Amino acid sequence: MNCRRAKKLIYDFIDGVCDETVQIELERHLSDCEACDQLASGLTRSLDLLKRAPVETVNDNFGWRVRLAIRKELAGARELGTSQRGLFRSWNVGYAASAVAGFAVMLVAGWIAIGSVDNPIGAGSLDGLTLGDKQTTERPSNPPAQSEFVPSGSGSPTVTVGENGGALSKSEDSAVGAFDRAIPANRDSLVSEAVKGMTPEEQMQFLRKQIIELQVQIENRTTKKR
Amino acid sequence: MYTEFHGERAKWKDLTDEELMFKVQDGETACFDLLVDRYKNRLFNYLFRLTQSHDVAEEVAQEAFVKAFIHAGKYKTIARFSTWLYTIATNLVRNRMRSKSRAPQIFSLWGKGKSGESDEEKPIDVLDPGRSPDDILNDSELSEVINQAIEKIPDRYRSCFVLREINQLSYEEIAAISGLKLGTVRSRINRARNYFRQIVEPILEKGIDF
Repeated sequence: MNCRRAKKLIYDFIDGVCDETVQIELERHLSDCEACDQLASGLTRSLDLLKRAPVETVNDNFGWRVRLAIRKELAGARELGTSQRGLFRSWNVGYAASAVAGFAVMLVAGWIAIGSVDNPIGAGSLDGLTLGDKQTTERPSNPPAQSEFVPSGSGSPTVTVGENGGALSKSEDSAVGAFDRAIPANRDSLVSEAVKGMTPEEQMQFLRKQIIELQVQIENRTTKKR
Repeated sequence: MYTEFHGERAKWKDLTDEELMFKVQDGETACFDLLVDRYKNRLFNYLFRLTQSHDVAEEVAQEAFVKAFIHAGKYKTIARFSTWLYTIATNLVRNRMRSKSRAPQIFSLWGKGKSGESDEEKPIDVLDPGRSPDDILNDSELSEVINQAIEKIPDRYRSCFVLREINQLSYEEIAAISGLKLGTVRSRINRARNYFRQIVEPILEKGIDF
């Protein structure tokens, strides 16, 4: 047995997990090697010191203090639980309303953005809404042949789309009614009119403004409904 | 609700720790008193050797028992109660040290030294061998010597060492408590033993008899 192996086995020997043959071999090495013997005896002696170390004990009232702390903790948890449940209820309602409103805004924004990819000036149903300083509530000058567009305030909130489009009927009072209305086929030209002569940056600014206005309208309608 | 018990101790005293925990889970919360009685000194001893402070050790021990009771429902048979309790206590100490890591006198449990240098790079201070045998007479002094020696063991080895040498836990239990691999636990304990020997040997060579 060499010193390297002996040094490894010394720890097993201390732990008492050396088998008998290995132990005999180790003892033989220790009797021949002073350095390893010193290491082994030094370890044994110093660790023996730990075995003789007095056991530190807690104060007599420790158990009582633990009981008291547990009671306090349980009482605190009950109070916290009650307030948290109340908080959760109000938070839940608020969260749901915000989530719905947020989702609606995202839908509109996404829709406008997608439209702007096909058509740089946007393809959202912005008719009937305030487009910057311009009002576009007037009936389109060239309505499509296959559909009949009925503007808001005409007495009928419904729009009939011709054979190809199928029937659409949406309430103007819906939270997103302003842009849920039937879309005239010439909506693009309406928007085109509104953004005519604008630079791309101005167009983007214009669209952002529209989104903000839509958000305000949605918010107002949602609040009214509540 | 946590209730005290009177005279029922005898009924439960033969139950194992794990059986007592199941009783606690079933609502026999008074069984927890028995567990506190069984482990308070062992846990305190471990924490005292780690933190070197009676007050901190007692505070952490109390917190560990409270946590063990509050989360009794989470206890499962996959671990022994003692392992679970030591794990809670070790984590509490670790968190405490982490939160106070800016304080220079505080140690960390498994990580590197305070200034970022590895433990191996730190010089080993031996205990003052100039102390005469008359200076070291009784148990409390022996305890002091041991504490000083343990304090000088590099941070990352200390917890495993104390669990093994003071609390006599198995390597497997220490691995479960520390979240380290068995081989790592072995090597850390052996290194710590070597450090401890280097620190204590000069005192022993002086012929001081405790």
